Formats: sequence, C-alpha cells, structure tokens
Amino acid sequence: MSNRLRLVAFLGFAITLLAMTVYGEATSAPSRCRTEGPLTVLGGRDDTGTRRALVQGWQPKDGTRAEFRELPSNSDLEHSELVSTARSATCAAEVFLIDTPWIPEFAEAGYIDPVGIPEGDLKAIIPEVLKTGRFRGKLWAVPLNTDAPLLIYRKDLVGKAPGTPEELMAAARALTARPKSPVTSGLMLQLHDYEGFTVNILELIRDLGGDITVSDDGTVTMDRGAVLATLRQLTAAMRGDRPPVSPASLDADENAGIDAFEQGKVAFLRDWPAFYTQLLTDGAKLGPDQIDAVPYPGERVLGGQSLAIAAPLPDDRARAARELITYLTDAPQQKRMFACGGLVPVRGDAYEPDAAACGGTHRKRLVLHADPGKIRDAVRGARARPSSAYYPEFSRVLRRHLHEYLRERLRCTAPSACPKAPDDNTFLNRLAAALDRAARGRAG
Amino acid sequence: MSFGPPLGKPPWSEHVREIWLPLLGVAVPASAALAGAYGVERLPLFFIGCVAALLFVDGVLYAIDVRGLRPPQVRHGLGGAGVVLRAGFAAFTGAAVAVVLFAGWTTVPRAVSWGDEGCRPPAEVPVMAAPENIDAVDAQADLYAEHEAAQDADRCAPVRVTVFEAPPPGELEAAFTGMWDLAERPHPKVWVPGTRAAVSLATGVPLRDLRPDGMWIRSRGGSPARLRTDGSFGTPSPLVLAASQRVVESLGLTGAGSVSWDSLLGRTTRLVLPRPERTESGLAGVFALFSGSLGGDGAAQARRRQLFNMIDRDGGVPDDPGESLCRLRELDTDGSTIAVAFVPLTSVEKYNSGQPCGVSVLPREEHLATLRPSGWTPAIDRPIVQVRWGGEDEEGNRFADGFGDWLARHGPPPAKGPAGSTLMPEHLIQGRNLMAEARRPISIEFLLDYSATMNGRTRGGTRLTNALTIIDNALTRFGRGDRVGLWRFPGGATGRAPAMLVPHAPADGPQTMRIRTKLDELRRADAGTTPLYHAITAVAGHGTGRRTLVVLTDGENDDPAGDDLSTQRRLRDALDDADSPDVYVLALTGAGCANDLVALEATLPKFHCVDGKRTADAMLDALFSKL
Repeated sequence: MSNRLRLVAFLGFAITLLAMTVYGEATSAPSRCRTEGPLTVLGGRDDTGTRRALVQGWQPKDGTRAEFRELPSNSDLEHSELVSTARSATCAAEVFLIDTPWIPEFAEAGYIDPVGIPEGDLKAIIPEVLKTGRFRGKLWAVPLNTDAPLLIYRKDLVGKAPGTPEELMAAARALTARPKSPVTSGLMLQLHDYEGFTVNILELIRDLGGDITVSDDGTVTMDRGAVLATLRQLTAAMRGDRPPVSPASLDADENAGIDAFEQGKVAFLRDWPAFYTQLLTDGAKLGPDQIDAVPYPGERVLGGQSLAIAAPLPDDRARAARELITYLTDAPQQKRMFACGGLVPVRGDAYEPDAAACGGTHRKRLVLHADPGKIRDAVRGARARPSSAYYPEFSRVLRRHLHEYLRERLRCTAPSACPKAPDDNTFLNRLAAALDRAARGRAG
Repeated sequence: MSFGPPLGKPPWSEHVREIWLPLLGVAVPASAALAGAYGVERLPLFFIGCVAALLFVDGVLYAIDVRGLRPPQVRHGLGGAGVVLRAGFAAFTGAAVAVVLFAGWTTVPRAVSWGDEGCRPPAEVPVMAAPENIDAVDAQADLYAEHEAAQDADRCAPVRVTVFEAPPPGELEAAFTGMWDLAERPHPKVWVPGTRAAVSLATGVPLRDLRPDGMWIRSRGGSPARLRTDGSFGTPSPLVLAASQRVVESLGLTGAGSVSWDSLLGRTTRLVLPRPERTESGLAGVFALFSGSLGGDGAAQARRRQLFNMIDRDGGVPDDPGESLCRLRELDTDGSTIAVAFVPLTSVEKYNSGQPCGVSVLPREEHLATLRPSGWTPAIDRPIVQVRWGGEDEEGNRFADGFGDWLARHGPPPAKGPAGSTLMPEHLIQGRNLMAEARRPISIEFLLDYSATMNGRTRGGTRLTNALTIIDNALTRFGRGDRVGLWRFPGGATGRAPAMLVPHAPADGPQTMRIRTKLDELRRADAGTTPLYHAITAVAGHGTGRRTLVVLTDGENDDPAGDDLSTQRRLRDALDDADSPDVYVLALTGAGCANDLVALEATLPKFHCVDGKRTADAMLDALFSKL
C-alpha cells in the first residue's frame, strides 16, 4: 500500500477532526458570550437591597463591574426564569444565585460549571453549609447565605425554653391542657402544600432517627418506620379541642404562622430568623418582653442560596466571576449582609455583624436580624435536604402524598369513616415507588 | 479487490513499526487540538483515541488492497482518474473515522450520564395567564406535563410548566415594549389573556390584524418579544349578571332573560366585579355598566357616578371571577343586601356545578341565576399567545407550542347561549378612563419616607418595598383629570427638607412612566432622620389648589432640627386652612398608626391616618374611598 495513500488517509482524518473541533468552538456559547461589560448576577429579589449594593460595590483593580438583576421572590417563578435563561444560551448572566436544593439539577443539566475555586480557599465557610454546594464529588456552587429555623415562643407563657423535640411537645401539651389556656394550640408548623412542608416534615422524620435520602444514582432510601411514625404522631397531635400542634398548620406558610402567633393562637412557632426579626421589630401586638427564640430543638433543615457560574463562559469571564464570588463570601461582605439584610452568614467568623453599618435613625436603630449567637447555633448541626437533580419534582411528590395522608386522616375521626383510605403499608409502597420515579425524573 | 495481507506486504506488526512516525505526526497535533478545546486533562485519552482511530484507518487500507480498486471504465488509459479515486477513498476513510470519533466523544459521555439516572432535567415552559384563566390553565399544565411524560418510553418527565399571573391590563403595553419587570414575573413562552383586546393593547396591532395564522408580531419599543396568536382556550364566554334566587325574586326578575342596568340602579345596593384595575373582565364590566351613558353632559356624568357607587369595594376586591362569586355569596348572607355579580358565564357554571367557596356540596337552591344585561354584552375570548424572547431553547419552544395546542383542545366547556360581543382595546381603555372619571378628579402628591428604618422587615417585604408597591398600584387607578406627583423626605441622607422627585402633573401615560422610572431607582432608604411633620408642612405649602398629600411612612417623627411640639404646631398651622390639602398618612408597620398620629387625627380635621395592616390594594381601596 502506497505511503502516499496512507498519508492522504491520515490527513483526511486530521483535517476533518480539526475542522469539526474548530467549528464546534466557533459556534459554542463561550465564543458567543460577551467578553466585556459588567458581570450579571441573576437571583431572587432581596427586598433590603443589600445583595444588590454589595454586588455593585465590587471594584476589582481591572475595572470590571457587576450588576444584580432581580427575579421574583416566589421561588417557583425564580426557578422558572433561571432555567429559561440558562437554556436560552443567550449568556444573559454570568453568575446564578440559586436555592441550594437546585444545585444538582443545574449541574446535571449543564446550566452551571464547577465553580473552580479550590476548597482550601473556602475553609472559613461552615463545612455543613459548604457541603450543600457539592454534587457527585465536585463543588458546583459556593453558598452566599444560609438559614436554619428557630423556635419562637411566648416567654410570658412558657417557663423554660424546650431543648428537645420531646420537651417541646410536652410543653405544648401542658400549655393547652391548662383550664383557661390563653392559646388554642401549642405549636404552629408550616405544612401548607409548598416547599415549607418538605422542610418541616423532614425535620420531624429525622427527629425520630429516620431520613429520606437520594443517592447520586437516584436511588431513594426511605425509613418507612420513621415516616409512618411521624405521620401517625403528627395526626394524633393535631386532633382534639386544643391540640398540641395546630391543625391550621396544614394551611400555613411562614406568614400565616406569624399571624397565628401574633394573635395569641399558639405559643410556639417554628420559623426562619427573618420572621422572628419581623415579629420583634414590626411593632405589632407582642412586645420583646413577651417573645423569645432558641434554635429549633431537634433536627433542623438548612436553607439558603448559593452562587454558581453559568456554563459555559469565556475563560476571562469565568475567572472574574470566581473573583466576584470570593469577594461576596469574604468576611466584611458577609458581616454587612447580616447587618443590613438579615441574611445569615455562611462563615463562622461573620456572626458578629457591624452594628453601625446600616444604622437607623437618631431615635431608632434598624434591627434586621435576631441574636447572632442563637442563629449561629441553629445553623450548626442543621442538615441539607436530599440531593437530587430532580429535587423540585421529588419534593412535590413527597408533599403531595404526605399532605393528602394527613388531610384524610384528620378528616376521618375513625378508620371506619375512611373507607377509601389505603392501609398504611399500601400507602408507603405507593409513596416509595412515586419518590423513586420522581428522583429519576420520571412521572406518574 | 482483495482482502487480507496482499502478497509482498509485511506482517501487520512490522507494518505498524514502519508507519509510527507519520502516525504520531498526525495523532499528536490532533489530540492536542482536542485537548485544547475540551480540557487539557483529557490529552492522554484524546491521544490514545487518535492513535487507535488512525490505526483503524490504516488497517482498513491495509486489509483492502486499494490498488485493486478501479472502476472498469478507467481500467486502461485513464490512470489519473484512478489515482484520484484511490486518494479520495483513502481521504474519505480517514474523514469517516474522524466523524465517528468526534461524535462518539461528544455523545457517549452524555448518554452514559443520562443512563445512570435515565432522564434529563426537564425543559421549562413559563405560562402567563390572566386572573380569569389562571386556575383552569394551571390545571391543564399538570395534565399536559403528565401527557408528555406518558409519551416517553421511560416515562421521563420532559417538561415542567410554571403558571403565573399576568400584569394588569394597564401595564401590558409597558411590559411588552421594553420594561418587562423581571422582579415581578418571568418571561413567558405562552400567554393566555382574558381577551384578544389585551394582545392588541400590548402590541399596538389592531384587533382585526391579529390573525391566528402563525404570523409573528414583533413588539414595539425595542423589546425583543415576538408574539403569535394561536387559537383560543375554549369558546368565548359572555359576561352575565349573577345573583342568588332570593335577589332575583326580590327584583321581580324571575324568568327574565335579560335586565337593563337602569332597572338595577337604585335597587341594587352592591355590584360585584373582578377588580377592574387588574382584570379585563372587571374593566369590561365597567364599560358595559357605563355603556348606556357615555356622554359628557352633566346628566350622563351623574348617572355614571351613581352606577360607579354601586361597585363593591369593601372586604377586599378579588381578581378571580370565582372569588367574586364567593364575595357575592358572603354579601348574600345579609338578607337585606341586594347584590349582583358581573362575571363570565363560565365562572357561574363552574360555581353551580362544583364545590365553590369551601362548600362541599352546593344545594340546588343556592345555585346562582344568570341574566344578560340588555344592550351590549362583552365576552372574554381567551386567546392563546405564543411569546418568544430570543435565545435557543428549541426544546422549550417546542413544548410551548405543544402546550398551546393542548390548551386549544382542552379549553373550558362552552358556555350556553349567545356568545356575546368581541371586546375591543378601546373598550378597555375607555373603561379605565370612565371609572376614573366617575369619581371626582383627584390630585395626589405622594410623600415617601426615605429614612433607614423603612428598610425594616414587615409582612410582604420591607416597609420601603411595600410603599413602592402601593404607589405603583395607585398609578393604575388614575385617569383623565387626575394629577399626581412624588416626593421623598428627607431629600438626602442628612438634612430635613423634602425633595421633589417628580413634579405634580396630569396623571397621563408619560407622567406615570416618569414616576415608575423613579420608583425603580429607589432601592434602599438611606436617611438618618424622619422629619415627618416638617415634610408635610413643607409640601403642603408648596403647591396650590385642591390636593391630597399621601404620606407613606413607618410612622415616627424624628426631626433633627426641631422638637416635636414646635414642628407639630407648624403642621397644625399649615393644615388649618380651607385651602390646605388633606393629608393621609399610611402607617406601614404592623403596629399601625402611632399614638401621636392618632392624636393629630383626633384634633385636625384634614389629617387622617390609615393603618398598615392590610394589603396594598386594601389600603388603596380605603384611601380612594375617602378621597
């Protein structure tokens, strides 16, 4: 065989390969994305304006600037626009600010690239919080702010703050059992059909030593015993004239919980620190001498948002985005976010905020956060939600099944009054199968 | 053509030793190019892949003696063509292997990744719906997503449909001509307004030119939005009067098919409409209400005022026609109240056949009766509009088209009886203007407290964001003859004098745009003082003519220059005159009006405090009802 023919074949191979590679690069998003102009951070609305101010306050020496473009505060609408933007490949944003449960979905779908910041540079971030940015062994996002629930309670009605879930239920029962109890129920949870339900129910399941997890390959592991025990205990706790857990929890979100607490209907409320601050500072019926808060006793689920780099970006833009992320997670910025926005820091060294940073007026100090020590204690020991690329669907399936179970059981005062309700074993089998499908992105 | 090592050729292993240099000469730069494009860490893999591919190419040529390849007609005498043919075959073989290698390298890893879990994360279809349609569209969104998943062999959920509420009719034009407020709502791919009139308003295209034939319309004003009307979500549903049996009997209308507005005037104490500021059916209802008295003469204006005063504004005005019927049900519990609702017929049919307002079983005697208004009866026709904003989400666009088709096939059941008349864009505009003109012209100057405590959290956001929402919502209520302006106090981070942000002027389109633009710039309050009394005094003395000052504040006077008593005294003097403006203080904290404001209200006839425990709309209803 002539060497010339061989050479022609090799050249045919090489030229075609190179041509396809060059074409791919020329038409790929990084080459189409802008290489100049301010970086855009796209994320949910921050009513205090703190995130915007910090992003726009970034002034690196090379003159790059950044802007914050706000999305709706409703998380479903925020998620919708983030996904639409990522899928449109218009390079409309370089940095996404996303809720931590969305990180696996964005990573799996190729909407974001690994963040590319060595974890050694992120040692100051609380390890449990940093972990929420990892998926399949890589770090895809750096947390910007975190969150963990508090137990808000009427200190004028309750002698000692409960320290465990058992003490909490005992205190709630004792309060409602009093002959002239000032409250109609002991504790209000957020069990309306929204993400708050998933968070609350996970905490209750984990309190009983169980969990619902999703592994990297989408396998769901559900502690059936703990799930069933949680549902049964919750149902029992919501029954009766003055139940320890308010049945109105099934229709309650954070605002409804605040209303019930302010109106004196409950003495204990599980809620996020921002709502405790609102109770303290909005000048409503209850004064600071009547309310207090401690880290929610028992298991706590982490909330928060993280910064991720949109995929794919030209190298220079990606590098600038990493610098911006590093800046926003540095201690001074974290302290300012806490002081001026009430956003819970991700760094352990940022819980002593700069009190004078955001001031107030001559007569009134602006208070945007509760006691830093209590919030820090709430964050420590809190755990993330299950990690799944299909988390929104997984959460929706979980709460649809459990919410319906609770409503059905509460509606029926006796099993004979619930002829259509499946037995618990059948219910758990259906739940497990539905969660398994949802965690693999399958419907039905 | 022969196969196997031809005579005279060395064994394969020896052959490879001969060609290793040219092989490396191609493999090295090719793998380096690939590594540069797809990751330096993959260089060893790319190199091995290129070497393997080149060996394969060579092996094919080694096994097939290409010298034997020649077409019969060029066997003799045309050796040049044979050379070209052989070289072409060799080059093609190399190219083919390169294509297979490249495609495999880019596709296989992704398939392996999906194979682990089996499904890709779903595409996203954001759908915007008018309040009249949102529940029905939301229900179809779930069904469509399930349907698409059922088409997939693995039952992967390929699409997620997110439904949200559309902006009010008065903001559609601004939304689609460049000022899409992303902080309020995402960019939709599908839009289901109440009427085609809304599409005409949003795009500026006359209704007659909106053809459901796949033609894309580019939005005005530099917005990237393109729109295409694509069928309808159900058949048109006329607006009808709905009332309880008790009310129909008391009005003597049992068995009547229609009724005139005039016959209701004076007898009907309450007319329930979906909120006209936010819904097309509400605005259409207002226009229909006034349709018999559109003149500019005094009698017509007086009649319009009478009709306008029938409209129910207490207890929170809902956007959803279904909730309007629940409001009607609530009013009907008072046996002395005569109340009727003006809503789409489909809403009444759904009410009568379902479990409305939390009722598990609706007795037949509680079904609502319907009457057509004699004269003009508008209808909502629910067009389906595809919207594109640029970008390359072909899969999402395909599902958006699919959902539009789905909606066209799964609309609400057709309403019984005549379809009603097409609502035109000018009806919506005129409805808004007539509603504004039915009341006395108002002249408002907003004074926005910009002290740092306004950044404090309250229900729904911060006090500042709530104040901005109230002002923004108020702008939808102004009409011809009204005037509006905007101030902040204090004017800067320090000092006490208020600053005029937008001068007082007629509340037309440009003026509301100026105010909205200014509101967009107000992100975080920065002043260290709250000179509340001084600001009111200063602005009260600034203008002339009948005006109302609306002060949005968290309620505590904190003046750096004067003590409370002296500044209060000057405030009293400023408001103690027949020509002084009326002052309404909206106290934006959960605690409502502070004691000093309550005390001022008790002693100053022109000073009023409205507590902040309500929604923005409820506060505005309370405010506008007093003006």
